[in-house]
Amino acid sequence: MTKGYLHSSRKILLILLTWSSLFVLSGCWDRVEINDLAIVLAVGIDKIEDDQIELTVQLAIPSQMGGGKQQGSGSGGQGNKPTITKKASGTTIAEAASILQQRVPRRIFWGHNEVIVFGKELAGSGIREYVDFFAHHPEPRLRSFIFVSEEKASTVLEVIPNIEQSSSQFARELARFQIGLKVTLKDLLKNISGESRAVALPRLEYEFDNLNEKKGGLNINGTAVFKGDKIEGYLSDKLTRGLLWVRNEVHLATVSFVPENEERYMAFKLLRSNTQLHPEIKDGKWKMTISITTEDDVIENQTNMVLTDPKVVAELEKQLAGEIDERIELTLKKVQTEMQADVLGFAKAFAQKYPDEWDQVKGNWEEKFTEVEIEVTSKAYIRRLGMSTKPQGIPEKELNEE
Amino acid sequence: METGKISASQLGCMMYPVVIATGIVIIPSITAKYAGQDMWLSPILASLMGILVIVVAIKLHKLYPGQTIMEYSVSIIGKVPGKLLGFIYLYFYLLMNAGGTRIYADFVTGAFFSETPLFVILATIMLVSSFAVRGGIEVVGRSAEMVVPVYALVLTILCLLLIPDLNPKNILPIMPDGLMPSIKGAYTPQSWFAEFFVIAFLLPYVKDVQKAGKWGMISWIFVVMGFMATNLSLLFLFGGELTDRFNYPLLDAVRYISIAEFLQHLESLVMAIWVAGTFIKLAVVHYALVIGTAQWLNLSNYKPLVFPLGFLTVLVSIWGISSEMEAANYSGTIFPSFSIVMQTCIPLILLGIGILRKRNNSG
Amino acid sequence: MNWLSFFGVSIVVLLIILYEWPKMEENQVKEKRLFIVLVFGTWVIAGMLIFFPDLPGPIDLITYLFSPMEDIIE
Repeated sequence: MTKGYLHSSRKILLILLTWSSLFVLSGCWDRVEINDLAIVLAVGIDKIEDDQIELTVQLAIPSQMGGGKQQGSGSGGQGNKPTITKKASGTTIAEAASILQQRVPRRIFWGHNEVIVFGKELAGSGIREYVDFFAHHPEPRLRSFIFVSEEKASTVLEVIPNIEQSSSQFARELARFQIGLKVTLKDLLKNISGESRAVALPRLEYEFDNLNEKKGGLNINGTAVFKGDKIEGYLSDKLTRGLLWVRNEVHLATVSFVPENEERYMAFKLLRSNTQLHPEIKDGKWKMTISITTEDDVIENQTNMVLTDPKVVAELEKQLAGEIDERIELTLKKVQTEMQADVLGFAKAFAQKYPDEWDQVKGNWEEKFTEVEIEVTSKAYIRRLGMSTKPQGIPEKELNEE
Repeated sequence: METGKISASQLGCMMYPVVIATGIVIIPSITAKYAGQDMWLSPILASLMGILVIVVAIKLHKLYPGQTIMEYSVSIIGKVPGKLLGFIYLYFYLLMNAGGTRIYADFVTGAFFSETPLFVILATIMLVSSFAVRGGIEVVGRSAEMVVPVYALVLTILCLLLIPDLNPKNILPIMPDGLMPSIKGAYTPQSWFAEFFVIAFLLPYVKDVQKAGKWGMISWIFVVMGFMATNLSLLFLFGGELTDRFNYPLLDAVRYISIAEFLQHLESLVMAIWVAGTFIKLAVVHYALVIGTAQWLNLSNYKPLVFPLGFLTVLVSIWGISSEMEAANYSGTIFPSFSIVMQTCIPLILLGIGILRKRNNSG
Repeated sequence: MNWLSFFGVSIVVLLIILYEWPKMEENQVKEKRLFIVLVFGTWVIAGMLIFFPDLPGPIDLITYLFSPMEDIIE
C-alpha cells in the first residue's frame, strides 16, 4: 500500500517536474542571439544646440565583415561596405540611443565599442556630462579609445577608410601605435576627476580621397588639451611628441637633427625610453626634475661622419640628448605658461611624494603649476649603427674619419 | 543526525568561498571608499578578525568536542538562555545567507541579466545549493573540493592578465592620514572574515578534527591572498578614487584585459567563478542554518528543512529591500555591526564562560 | 499578474511538499509537523510579499537596531 502510494506520487512529481522545465527551457529573459544584435563599433558625440547632442554610431554589418571581400568587387562599390553610420539627437546619450533604436531593427549592443569621438563643439563646452553614460551602462568597456575630432565627430565615423575595414578600426590602430596619445576611457575617467584637473586627448583628423564615396583616411594630428572638461587649446604634432616623452608614453619615435660641424641630417630610431619625474619641495620652492633615458639606433646618416669611433658616438649621444631636451622644453613652455594645464602628471607626482604640502595647494594647483621650476635631464645611448658602418654613396677619401 | 563526514582539507575548501565569493566583487569598492589608495591594507587588518574567529571556534570545539554551537551554547549558559541564543544565531545565519544571495543576484542582474526578474535568479541558485545541502555535508564538501581550486586558479589568471596595464605607483602615498582610513576600510571586510565562524557548525563532522585548525589557517591565507591580489590589481589599474566610483570594480577591471587584442572580453570568467563560488558559499551557510535549526528543535533528521528554509532565505533576501542600493547599504554598514556582535563578541564571551566552567568543574 | 505569481509560488510550495513528504518516515511526527509549519509559513509570507511588496522585513529590524553604529563609523 505505502509502496504503491510512494510510487504513484513519485510519478506525478516526475511528470510535474518535466512539464515545469518547459517554462525554464524557453530561455531566460535576457537571451539575445548574435543575429539580433547591432554591434556598435564607434560612437561620435556632437553638440548641436544648447543641451542637445547628436549621437552617431557606427554599426557593423556582419555579412560584410570578415575581410577578403575587397578583392572581388574591385575598389568596392557602395553596396558592400562593412559598416553603416546612424545618427540621432537627444538631451542625453541614452535618449538619443533609444531614438536610434527605433531605426535599427536589431538591439543596439555597446559591448564591442572601441572608439569614442567627441566633436570639436562639444569639447569646447564640456565633455564630462557625456562620459558618464559609458561608465554607467553595463555594456561598454573601459578600454574604448577616446579622441577629439578636428571638426564634427560624425564625419570621422562616416569615413570609409581605404586600408582598414572601418574607421573605428583605423582609429584604434592609430592609437595603439602610440605615435600620438593613447587614451582609454579608464584614463579619461581617472584624469578628469584626478588631481591635475586637466586632460589631454588625441586629436583625430580626416582626409578624403574621394569625397562622393566618402573614401579616405584618418590621422592623429596633435593633442587637444582640456582644462577640467573644456578644451583649452591644441598642441601640434611636434609638441605632442614632447608631451609623450614627459608622460613616458613614447613608443615609436625618430629624432633627426644636424650634428655639430655637419651640413646634413642624421636620424635616430628610438628603441626604448624611460622617463621619471622627481618632484622636490625645498624651502617652499616646488621643483620637478624630469630625467629621461633613451636608447636609440642610427637609421639614417646623410652626413659623411664615420660612426665606428666610440668617441664620435659619445659626442653624438650628448647632442641627441640635447635635442630631446630642446623638444621637451618647447612643449613645457606651451603647456606650463601658455595653457597652464597640467597634462604632464606633475600633480599626481607631487601628491604622491608630498601629500601634506599637496593638500595645501590642491585648491589652486593651476596657479602653483605655473610656478613649478622644471629641469630636464636626458641621457641618450646610441646602441647600434644598423647595417652600415660608414655612410653609403660617398667616396672613401671624402669621409670624415678624423 | 548527520552520518557523513568531511576531511579537514574539505573544510578548508568550503570556507574559502564562504568568505571570498561575495566579498571579492563588492569589498574593493567599499574599502576604496574609506581607505583610498590604502585599500590594499584594509584586507590585512580585516583578516586579523578571521584568525581570531577561527581560534575561538576551535577552542570552543575543544572544550565541547562533537558539539556545534547550538548544543554547547546550552551547556555553557543554561537551557533557556542557550536556546534563546541559538534562535538568535539561526536568525543571524538566515539573514547572512539572505544577504549573500541578494548580493549575488544584484550583481547578476545589474551586470548581465538586467531584464531577468530578481526572484528567478535568487531561486535558481538557492535551488542548486539546497540540493547540495540535502545530499549531506559530504556532497557540499566534495563540490567545494572540486570548485575551489578552479576558482582560485581563474582568479589568479585574471589578476596576472591585468599585469601589462598595471601602474604600481598608484599605491603612493602610503598612509598619508595615518592608519585610520584603512581601519575604517577594514570595517566591512572584517565581517566577511568573521564568516569563518561558520566552522562552529561544521567541526563536529570533521574526520581529522585535529587538523581543522591547520586547514582553517591555510584557507585563511588563501582568502587574504585573494583579497590582496584583487585589491592591489584594482588599485594599480584604477587608483583608489576611481575604484570607489565603480559598483563592481573587479568586473570593470576584467573587461579591461586585452592581451594582443586577442585575449579579451573575459567577463564571462568572472561570471563563471561568481556563480560557482556563490553556490558553495550558499550551500555551506545554508547547511549551517539547516543543521542548526534541526539541533535547536532536537529533530532526528534535518533534510525536510532544507527546501522550506531555502525558500525562506530567498523571501528574506527580498523582504523589505526594494533596491540594490538598500541591499548594498545593509551589507556594507549594517551587517558588519551585526556580525561583530554575533560572530566575534558572543563567541568570545561563550569561550570565557566555558573555560571558567570547565575549570570549576575540574577544580 | 499578482495572482499569477501567487500561483507560481504555490506550485513551488507544492513541489517541495511532493518531493519531501514521501521521504519522511512514518514515525517522524515532529519533523512532519515542523515541515508543515515551515512550508505553510513561507507560503503565507510569499503571498504577503507578492501583494504587499513594501512590507518591512527581518532585515529592517536589524537595520533599525544597528543604524546607530553606522553613524559612529561614518
